[in-house]
Amino acid sequence: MPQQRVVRTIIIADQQGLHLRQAVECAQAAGRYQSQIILVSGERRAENCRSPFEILQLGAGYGAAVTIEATGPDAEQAVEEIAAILSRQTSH
Amino acid sequence: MEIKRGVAVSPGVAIGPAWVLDTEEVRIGERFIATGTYPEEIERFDRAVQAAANEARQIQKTVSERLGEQYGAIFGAHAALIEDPNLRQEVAAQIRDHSFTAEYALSRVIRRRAKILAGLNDRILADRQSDLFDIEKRLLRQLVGQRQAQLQKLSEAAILLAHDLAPSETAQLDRQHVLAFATEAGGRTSHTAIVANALGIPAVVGLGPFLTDVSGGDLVIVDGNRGLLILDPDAETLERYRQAQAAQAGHERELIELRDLPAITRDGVRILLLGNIEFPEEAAQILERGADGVGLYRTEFLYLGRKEDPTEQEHFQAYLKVLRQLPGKPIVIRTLDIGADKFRSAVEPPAQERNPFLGVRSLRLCLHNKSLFRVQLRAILRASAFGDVRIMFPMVSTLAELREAKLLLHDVMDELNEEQVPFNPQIPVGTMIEVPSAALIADLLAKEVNFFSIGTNDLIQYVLAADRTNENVAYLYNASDPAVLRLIEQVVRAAERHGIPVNVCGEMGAEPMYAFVLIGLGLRQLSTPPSAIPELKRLIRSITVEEARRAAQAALQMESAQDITNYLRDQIRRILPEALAV
Repeated sequence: MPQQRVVRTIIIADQQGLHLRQAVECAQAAGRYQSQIILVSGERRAENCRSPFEILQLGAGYGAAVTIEATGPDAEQAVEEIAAILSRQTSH
Repeated sequence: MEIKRGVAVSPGVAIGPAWVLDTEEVRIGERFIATGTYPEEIERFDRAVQAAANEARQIQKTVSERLGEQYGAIFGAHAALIEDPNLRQEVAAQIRDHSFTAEYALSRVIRRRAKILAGLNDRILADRQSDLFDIEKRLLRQLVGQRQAQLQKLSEAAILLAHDLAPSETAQLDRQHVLAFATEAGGRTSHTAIVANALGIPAVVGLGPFLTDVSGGDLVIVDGNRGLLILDPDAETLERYRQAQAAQAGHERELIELRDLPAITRDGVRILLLGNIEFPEEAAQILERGADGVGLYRTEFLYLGRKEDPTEQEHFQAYLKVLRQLPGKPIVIRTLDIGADKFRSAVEPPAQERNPFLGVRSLRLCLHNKSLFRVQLRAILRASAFGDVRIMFPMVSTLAELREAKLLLHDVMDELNEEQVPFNPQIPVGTMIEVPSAALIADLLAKEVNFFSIGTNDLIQYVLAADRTNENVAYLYNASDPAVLRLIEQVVRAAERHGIPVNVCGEMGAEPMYAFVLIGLGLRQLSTPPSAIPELKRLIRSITVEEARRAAQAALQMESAQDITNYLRDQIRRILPEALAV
């Protein structure tokens, strides 16, 4: 399978910011892909997107931009799913 | 006497003896393992991770059953944090490189992480530190081989005072014996605060250091309404709080007595009081509060926070669960009412929308995803064979949309007929009136449905073009606005002319002054959170429809929301002096 590198930037839409449950969902999703996934927000990076804590420590608040970088055979789908999780609004 | 100010996170007042939770917890010293034995130590840590994660998942199950899945999910997240691959990697490195014990390595790593979160300068994430300490404690308990110190051991009623309470400890508190709690740490958005609110235990957090000033058994007062902890209260303060407590209890008792009395006005008009529910577990509240049925059963919970769309059977079971608890009562099921921004379907990824509130949401989303919509329609129809189920479409904005939804419903009915699956072919079909266009063509819509339900939350926001969560325009969002009252009146008249019932299912109906004016406008049904029903019953039993009608007519002539609010507030003060009309 060809190696892909996909990069996409999303904005945190939830007023609570990137919160614990989203981080957990993201880490679980990342675990299902072969691609290596890195998240970047401002000066902070989560080198291992399979770790919920790494994602949490990005400290991405409401309105923050988060860049998702995936490298691997399923990078496209991985970015798609993680972007969907991160840009969701869940608080009600 | 000493008064400490903190953050009020769960309302109510409690007076009782203090029960101070030991702040020492499990103390971990800097200890080392024998050189070369680190593989065994890492293995010991791995076993603890497994056991602790299992324990967290078990708590998730218990809490989900007791309080609902959204609270249980907190502990599901804890399990994931425990199993975080980086945590394992960092702890293993500490054990290997410094020969630390697993316990000490863990507490070093956790403390480092807590510091990172605290340094992010984000209030919500800073509150997440308590989640980290919760998982640390859980892992340590496994490592030290201790079983969880049960908080249920409390044998007499007391007020729990602690430095901090982990969310899992809060969830396991014994409601019989814990009158209230107060903590030095914590904030409004901490999970501990959310869980306390769900349990209905008065709570104040974020009080700052106070544990050194109090010993077990001291008399203390927790004022969860104002966020106060009062240590060693003087006689006067104590008396004042005792009276407040008695008044509160008396008020609640009185409302409970109203439960079995009908909601009839003094001139003999019966008003139907229905409840809004979101989860099947809330059906019990309908009975407890003496509601006539469910006026709005939201179904979004079936779709949120999951990876696959719910199956027909899951829908059906959720509906049946409510029907079984409320035999003979009407249950209005609202079809999926969710924005594309919140929705993740297995079928279609959500589109990015510039203005989600004017985008593909609610019925529009369903009509764009017919296969998804059919699943829910089939389940609602199947449930209609087992009770008084009614179906309601949200966010209808044109006649064509309503017809398309009805066409699909009939199509699904044909399908069920062919399969010989029983359902009620006469199932009442209603539409929500929450888009201004629907209100303006209510006479056209009324010919095609069996009932209306006015969704005031959205209607107000669309009529005044104001988002109430946007603090810069929230002042425009007002149920008292003349435009809102006039539009509601128009809908009621259209419904009357076509002989169909009309209901209000927004938050507006839950407030006594608005319930009064709505009855005056001609409403004979209101659907509100179950907790509001006793108070509304009391209002209804105190008024005549005639005086409400006169008040509504007077309000309709007024020029501003402020005038109308003042006028209605005066009316309520006259009728129900003890109601806290805001």
